[in-house]
Formats: sequence, structure tokens, C-alpha cells
Amino acid sequence: MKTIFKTLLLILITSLAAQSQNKHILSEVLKTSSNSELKLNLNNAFVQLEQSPDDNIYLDYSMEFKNYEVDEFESIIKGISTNLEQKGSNYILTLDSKHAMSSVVFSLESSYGISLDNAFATGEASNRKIKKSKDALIKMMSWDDAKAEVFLETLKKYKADGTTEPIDLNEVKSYSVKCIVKVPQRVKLNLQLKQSEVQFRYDAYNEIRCEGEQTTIRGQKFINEKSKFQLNGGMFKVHVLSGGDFMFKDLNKVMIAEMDNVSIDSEFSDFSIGEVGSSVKITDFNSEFWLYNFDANMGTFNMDTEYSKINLYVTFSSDNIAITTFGYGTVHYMNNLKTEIPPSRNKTSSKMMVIGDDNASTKNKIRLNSINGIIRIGEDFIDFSN
Amino acid sequence: MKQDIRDLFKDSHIERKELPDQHREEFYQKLKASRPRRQSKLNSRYLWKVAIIIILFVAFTLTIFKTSDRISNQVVETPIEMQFEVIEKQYLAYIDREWASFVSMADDDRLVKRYESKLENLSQDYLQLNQQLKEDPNNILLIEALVENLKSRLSLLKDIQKHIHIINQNNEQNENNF
Repeated sequence: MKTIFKTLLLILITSLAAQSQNKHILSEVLKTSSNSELKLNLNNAFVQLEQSPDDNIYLDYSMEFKNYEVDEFESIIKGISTNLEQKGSNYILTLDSKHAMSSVVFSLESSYGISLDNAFATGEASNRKIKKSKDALIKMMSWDDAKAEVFLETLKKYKADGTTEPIDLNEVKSYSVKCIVKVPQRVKLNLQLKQSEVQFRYDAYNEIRCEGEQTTIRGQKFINEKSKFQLNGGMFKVHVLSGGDFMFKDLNKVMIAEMDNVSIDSEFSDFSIGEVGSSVKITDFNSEFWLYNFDANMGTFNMDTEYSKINLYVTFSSDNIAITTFGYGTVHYMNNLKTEIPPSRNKTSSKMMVIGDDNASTKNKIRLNSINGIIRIGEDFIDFSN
Repeated sequence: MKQDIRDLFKDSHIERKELPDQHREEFYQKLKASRPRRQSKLNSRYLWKVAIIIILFVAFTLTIFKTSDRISNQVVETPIEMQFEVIEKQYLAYIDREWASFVSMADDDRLVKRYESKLENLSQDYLQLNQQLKEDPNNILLIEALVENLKSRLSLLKDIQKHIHIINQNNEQNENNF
């Protein structure tokens, strides 16, 4: 009997190995020159960019499935298409999938439905918003990696009797996507993204041209004055932004821990900026800005806005910083008190308010041109009770 | 004392017997008879076959069941999709109500047009996501995106009304001061 038991165990182990839930999709090594460009055409894809150890581009795409039946995960893999084209020393990698992709994707099955009450709960917004440091913002960005699991935890499964039970994450079907592209710093990147996510896991000095729709970009440092990003929907979370033009439209969240030498054109987006450095210009329509700190050598920072909410955390001491606001129809709150501004009867822009000493010796100047906006200025916190 | 070992047997009186003809066969039979009998050999083979047949049968049956179950699932709307339809109706009603309220209070046509276009884009995104959910039911990313889409449409309209209310309040106060 012992022999039979051992044999059956062996068969079981062998069959499990045969049905391994790790699938390899693509692997390539591409030679580059100093003029090479890598174009990524992504639709429903998740890509992690890393720095190449040499001058080659390395592609490695695999997926790992958990709790899936063999035919189920094979159907997901069949829905993925990949295409690699070479034109001289330029490359075009196209990745497409029928299924939405992220670093981890969960599939929740329930015979009696799920309770979405917590998912739709907006929660009571705190009336007091405390000042944040650059590091605090970076920590918030790291925490974001576990967002999918956090969302899953807000959901509950209905049972046959109508009561709910928490979801056991170990039983949920999930797949993780490991699409790693290692690029040399000299290669130009051209990203055409639709409903995708790209994570830069290195400090990128590459020239980046990026057009994205409903896309998430996460990065450490983007340092290149020629870079251009045009994003419509989705999220943009980067530790350091130095140089480049950025167009953000309808972004749920723009989080930048530190930035300098950038020009931002935006609308309907939500910004959290850890520190504003030198040569920053923002033009906006109806976004909300949280500007937590200003570099000691910032110089002049310009904002040109309409229907925007601008929240600034500024500590005024001697002649370190001054804020001047221009425009009309704008409400100012200074240290949580509403400040009366004489109105412009014919809706023409004029100087509305000067906070601090705005003179020739003032090192840092914030110039806000605001039409029909709300400007709140606080030192360590901003209250919304008023 | 040294001596050749072969010389020791020269004077031996040991009788030299001839071995019988059947000696070898008899020896093998005795040897075979002396071995322990392996009675279970036939049984184990039999059990082996039975075990394999059972495993194959169970595996085949399970595969058929799972496949047919999935096929039927693809045709029928999942409970999550049905639930979402109910929530969607409620939310769209809220959004319509907030839109009407916003239009009535806004006195800037350009602002209204930009919001109209923004909400239309979000509505198109929603339809696209909904279509994807039909093809890929139970995908948490899509459920999350649908939830976010409805929430952000409603919150956009609420926020802009609050914004206009604050600005109008300020302007009225200033006009009175004049």
C-alpha cells in the first residue's frame, strides 16, 4: 500500500508542475545606438521600466496566476497580443490585452453578489488639512502600490441568507503581471498609452514623450528638459520632476514630491506638490492645488488660473517670500480668515492682494493670477470650516 | 615450512562422485522454492489500474463540470453586473439632479459648456468600461474604475456648486459694500 500511496503522490506533484500557473510570454534583447528610440504602444498593459545594465534593451514578460483553472488563465493569455518591430536601431513594442492589467489584478466571484456600500462611501473629509513634507508625499506614493488590495478589502461577499462576509484574499483569483523593460539612459522613450500603467523603477534621464489616456504613470525622477507628457485621465505620481512640459487633463491625482524647471498646463485635476523649485509655471482651469513647500532658492513662481482652488502653506519671515495675487472674482482666506478684496466691477484683472514684502530684495515671489478662484494660505494647516 | 598447496590433495582419499544429470534443474527448483512467496504482486497491479482509472475519471468529470459551468456563466449576467446596474441607476439620478442644480446657479456659459464636455467624456469612459466588464466580469480593476467614474462625476458637480456659492457670496458682499 505504501508503494501505491507514494506513486499517487508522485503523480499529483507531477500533474501540478505540469499545470504550473507561471506563463512566460516574451523575452528579447535589443541592441541600441546613441540615436535609438523605443516606442511603447500599450493598450490595457502594465509595464515596469528599469535601467539597463549596458547599452541593450531587455524585454521580459511573464505572468503568474493564482487560484485560476488552466483553461481560464490560458484564455487570459490568448487575449494578450505582442508585437515587436525594428526600424534601424529604433524599436516599436506593441502590447495589447482584452483584460485590464495592473501589477496585480484580482477577479472576484460571488454567487450572491458583493456589497459595494463601503466602496461608494466617500468618508467625512477632515476640516483641517495639515502641511506635508516631501518625504511624506513619497511615502504616500509607496503606500499606493497596495491600492488594489485595499479596495478589495472594502468589499464584502453576500451569503445565501443575505448577510455579508469579508473576502478571503487567499481564495480570490488573481494574476500578477511582470513585464519588465530595461532601457539604457541614452534611449529616447515614446510612450503611447491607453488604459495602461507604466512604472519607472529608476531615475530616468531619458528624453520621454508620452501621450496617455486613462493611464497611470509612477516614477522616481524624470530629469530631462525635452520631455513632454500629455495625459488625459488617470494618475501621475512622481518623486522628482526636473524639466519638461506637462499637460494634465482630468487626472484623478497628480502627486509630485519635488519639481523645478517645468511648465504645467492643466484642467480638472487634483494636485499635491511637496516642494516647488525654480522656474515653475502653471496654467490651469478648475483644478485643485496643494502646494506644501517652496524651495529657499525658488525665485519667481507663476500661476495663471481660472476657477481653481489654490492652497498654499507658507511661513513668512523677513523678506524670504511674498505672495501677490492678480485677477478678479477670487476669494482669499489668510490663516483661515476671509480677506476682503475690493471687487472688479467690469471683470478686468487687477492686483488683488500682496502678502509679505514684495520688493527688490525679496528672494522668492509667488505670483498668482486667479479668476473666480479660491486661494487659501496657511502656515502649518488650513481649515475649511469657513 | 613451505609447501605447495596442490600437493596436499594428491594423496587425498576423497571419493570423486559424478553429479546426476538433473542436478542443475533440481538445484534451481530448490532455490525457487526457498524464496519467500510474493503473494501481493497480482493485487498491487490490479490496484494500480483501478487507482489510475479512478483518477482519470474524477479529473475528466471535474473538467467537464467546470467548463460547462463557465460556459453558462458567460451567457447569464453575473450578480455583480446586476448589482452594478441598480447602483448605476441611483447614481445617474443623483448626477442628473446635481447637473440641473449646477446649470441653474452658474452664470458663466463657458463654465457650463466645459463641464458638459467633461461629464460627456466621463460618461463615454463609463460606457466603455461597462462593455469591458461584460467581457471580463468580476475584474476588480474595472469595478473600481466604474465606482470611481460615478463618484467623480457626482463630486465634480458638488464641488463646483460649492465653489460658485463661495464666489457669489463674496461678490454679493462686496457689491453691498460698494
